[in-house]
Amino acid sequence: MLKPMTSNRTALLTIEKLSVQVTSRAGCQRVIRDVNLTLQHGRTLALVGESGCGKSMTMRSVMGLLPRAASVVAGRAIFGDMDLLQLKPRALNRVRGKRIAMIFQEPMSALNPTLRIGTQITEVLRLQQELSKRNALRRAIELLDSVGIPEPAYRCRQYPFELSGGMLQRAMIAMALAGEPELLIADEPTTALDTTVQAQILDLLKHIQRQRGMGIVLVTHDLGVVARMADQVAVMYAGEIVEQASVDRLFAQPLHPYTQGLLAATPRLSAASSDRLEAIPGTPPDLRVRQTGCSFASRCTHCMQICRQQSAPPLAAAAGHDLSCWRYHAANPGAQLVLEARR
Amino acid sequence: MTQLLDVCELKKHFSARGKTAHAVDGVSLTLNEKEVLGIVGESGSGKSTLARTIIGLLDKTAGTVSWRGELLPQRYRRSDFRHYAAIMQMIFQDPQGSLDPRMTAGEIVAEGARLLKRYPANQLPAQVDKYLTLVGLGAHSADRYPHEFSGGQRQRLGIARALMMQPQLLICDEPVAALDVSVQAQIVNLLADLQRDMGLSMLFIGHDLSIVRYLSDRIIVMYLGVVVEEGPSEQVFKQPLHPYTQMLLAASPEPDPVFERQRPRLLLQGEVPSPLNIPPGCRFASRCPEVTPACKRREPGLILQQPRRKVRCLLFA
Repeated sequence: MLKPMTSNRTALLTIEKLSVQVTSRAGCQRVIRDVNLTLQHGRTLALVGESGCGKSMTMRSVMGLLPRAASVVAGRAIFGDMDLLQLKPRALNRVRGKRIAMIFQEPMSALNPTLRIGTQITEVLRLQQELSKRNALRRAIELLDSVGIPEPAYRCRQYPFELSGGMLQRAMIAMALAGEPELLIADEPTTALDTTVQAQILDLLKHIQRQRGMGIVLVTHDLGVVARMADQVAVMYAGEIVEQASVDRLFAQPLHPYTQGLLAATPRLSAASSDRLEAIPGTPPDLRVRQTGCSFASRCTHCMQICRQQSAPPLAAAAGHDLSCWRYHAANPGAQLVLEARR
Repeated sequence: MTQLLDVCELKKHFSARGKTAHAVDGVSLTLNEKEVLGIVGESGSGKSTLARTIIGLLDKTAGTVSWRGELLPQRYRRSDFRHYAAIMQMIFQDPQGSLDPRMTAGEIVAEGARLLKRYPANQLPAQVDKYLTLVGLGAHSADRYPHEFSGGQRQRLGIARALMMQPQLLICDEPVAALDVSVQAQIVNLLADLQRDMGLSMLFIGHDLSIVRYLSDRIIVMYLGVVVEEGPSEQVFKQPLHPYTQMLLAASPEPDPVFERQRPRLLLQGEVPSPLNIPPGCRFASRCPEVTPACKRREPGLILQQPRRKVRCLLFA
């Protein structure tokens, strides 16, 4: 069981009250509001949500990879004894790619198409570990071998277009492992892959984690992948974490109506053929339009008057199980379950 | 049950740099009235090529397609498209790419029906409103352009455009693969309702087994251009026969952490071989956990295993 947020001295990564805004012609909008996340050493935290909810942007802001129009307006991201959000570019570069690595959804566009795979991996190794050309190549071959790429020496001489999507993602993972990171941020790493290849990559990530005790933040929209991989889950909707719990608790006792809706909408192999999926009506809100109240209110089947007026207060269902919802607040006379306010 | 579609030994080969890609390599299938046939397979299995060849967007290399016992032409001419567009319609994976950005939703939905004179001209606007309402967009959306819609709404627009032609067969090529989970469920339910209410026959193509399951009466599983397993959907999911189907089901993650921890890890090694270089013998032999020396020598046929169930594997020969 993970420790609650207050005693997280041993946490690998702690994000506190992170807010990000995007400036456009239409003005400034908060696209991420007051995000709190904690990842323990050697564990996997899944950040789950639908497209546009801000899950990728949350992790990109930690890595200092925000697009130019976006900027962090508040919050801290504590990694070891540093606040990643306060680091100067040079200091950040010493951490990034070495102690923290990131892999992306589309390995094809994350790799340089004009350079051989080996060149791209040795470039990282020579920069970070100041290895000689020959030693870097030897290490690159070892790394490709460790992520299950057959004939690694031959693959080193190939260009990205000569490798399949699954092989490229393995090569990306090899590159990420080059600096022996303590933290791996995996942003939808298997979304573009076929089911059987996805299973291979997920298995590989788990294997590497066991071997190296690395922490993983897995950004995904797929609750099946979450169930297979995660220890802890944070559900994000319209720029906010609406519910956060251990994986078993979140799937067994989801409390936020959005989490419940997402689970009911997810297809299951175990379903009977007569079953229907329960869709969530409507579409996620446009973050460019300023909202008052709970951002899920317009799609929520339990929406009350207060939900449209004030944003929901953070509540604690149990140690490590937090959510933001008026439904369980003591002020709701119809509440079947009243939760404590979170400290 | 009336048999509508009869596809027999259909082949579609592409030539590339002097080599031949055997994208669809001898597929036979039938589809009955009001039936939904799910076609499952990973990328490169030939499922989309199969759909496009059946509907005539691609010419057939060999084999036949019959509609209600009548042989369809090997290569479609303009007049054939006019004839068959009224019978078969297709919806596509990428709703953005399949809608003309310069046309309004109303024009998009009306275009095919107007060209083929499916309705008297004075009834066309009313019909457009009817179908836009039917798919849940509402008649007021007729004046909006594709970019003003969300992904799910664009897919609804694609469905309205197809249904406006009053087709008897709807071919859905991964219609929800690009959508978010909550919206995906809306579209799956919409398709299920429309299929039931309008008595449509459907070919539903998907790579996500669990989605295909919600809609299909029967399922065929494709691998490298051929059908490896066929049967009633419930049975294929409960008791998959072909080793590939078993691996595919095992690879598909289930939203249940307790189940995920307990389920045996069956990992399929390697990747799908290139359709430019189809190995001799069984096409799945290079990745099959139950491979025998005989598998690499002889290609198994698709044989009837149980009533209504077929499998292409030497284990069952």
